[in-house]
Amino acid sequence: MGVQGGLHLLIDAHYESLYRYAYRLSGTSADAEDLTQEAFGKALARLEQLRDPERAKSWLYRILRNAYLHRVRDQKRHRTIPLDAVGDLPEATADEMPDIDTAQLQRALDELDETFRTPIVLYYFEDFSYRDIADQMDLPIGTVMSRLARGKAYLRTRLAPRPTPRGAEGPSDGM
Amino acid sequence: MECNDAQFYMRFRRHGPDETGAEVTDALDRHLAACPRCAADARTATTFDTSVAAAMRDVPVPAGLRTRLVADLSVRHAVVFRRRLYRGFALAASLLLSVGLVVGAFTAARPQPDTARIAWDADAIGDPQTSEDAVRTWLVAQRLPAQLPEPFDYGLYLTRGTEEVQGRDVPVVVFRDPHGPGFAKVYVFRSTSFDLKDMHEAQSSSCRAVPYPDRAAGVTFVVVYTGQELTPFLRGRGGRVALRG
Repeated sequence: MGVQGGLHLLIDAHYESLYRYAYRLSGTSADAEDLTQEAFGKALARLEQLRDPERAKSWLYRILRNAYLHRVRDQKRHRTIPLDAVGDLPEATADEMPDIDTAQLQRALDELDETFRTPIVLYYFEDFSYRDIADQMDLPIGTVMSRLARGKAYLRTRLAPRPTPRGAEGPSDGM
Repeated sequence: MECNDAQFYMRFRRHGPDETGAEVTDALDRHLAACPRCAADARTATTFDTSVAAAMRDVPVPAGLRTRLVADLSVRHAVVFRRRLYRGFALAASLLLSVGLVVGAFTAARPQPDTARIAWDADAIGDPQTSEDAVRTWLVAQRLPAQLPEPFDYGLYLTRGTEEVQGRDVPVVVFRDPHGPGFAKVYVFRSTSFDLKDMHEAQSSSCRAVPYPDRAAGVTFVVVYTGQELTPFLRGRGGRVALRG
């Protein structure tokens, strides 16, 4: 199978999930499409580095995240919430959780710093294990678990219908 | 397990595969079965995780995205292919150029044989005085005594140069026999290259080797000649100089 044939297989298998991942990272469909194209373009140039086809998904996700980080490195695109202001204990919420509005979810994700957003997206989105997330982000697994706990706590304060978070009206953005 | 521990571990309990380990999971399950408040919190957490996961995946993929990706990759692939092709051509061209330059430089450096000079040198062989001067100049250039140990007849001079003797280059002057195919060779052995003590005459079936030490100069001449005597090779056909001994 040629390079192009292999790439077509990769596209067929992963383009939808890559696009969704890119969308949740970047927050816009235009950026998500650009990032997806860029990720596959970089994959084409480095295809010989992919020795284990079983790892293709993680490999592509890593390429896409690096492309995203490269884009936002020199520009602070979002005002992000310092999660020091948010507790990491589960907040009391309703037993019955109504459907979450995806736009509202995206706004909440956009408010998170990338270091918290990426593990949250990988966690919910693709059922990546803690170990996989740690590998993707080059972080110790304990750091990943801590960031996930705090990121989830923040999402609850933003998405859960009631009651209000203990001891606060809402997360202070500190800015 | 206490409630505080249960609350702690619940944060890390996944909606999908459990990564907290069987021991913790079992203890947590037992606690949740016995503690209504923690059980309610666990249900809430699970419900929240399920809702967020569903919303997280709810991203519509634009129509035609796959087609655009394939088209973009085809263009990129062509660019990459062309770039590699050009790089290959450039490499091959530079290799060819390098080889051409080396061959050209080597070819240009080869001198053309100078037949006029060769003829002039051959003329000089027939002239005894010119030959003797040339040999003397050559010996001095080699930092050797200017005179050979016997008054050789330079009308019989053939050539000069070096010969490998016992793995070392030794200067030598060659004379021809005026009466036949014989020769006389005068080797000059340096004390820096050979142990010159106790050298003596030697005789083979057709040649004789006679050493002529010159201790002041740090050399020993060895004259090797065919026939019974050296006389036919000498000026006036006879006589020896006083170097010997």
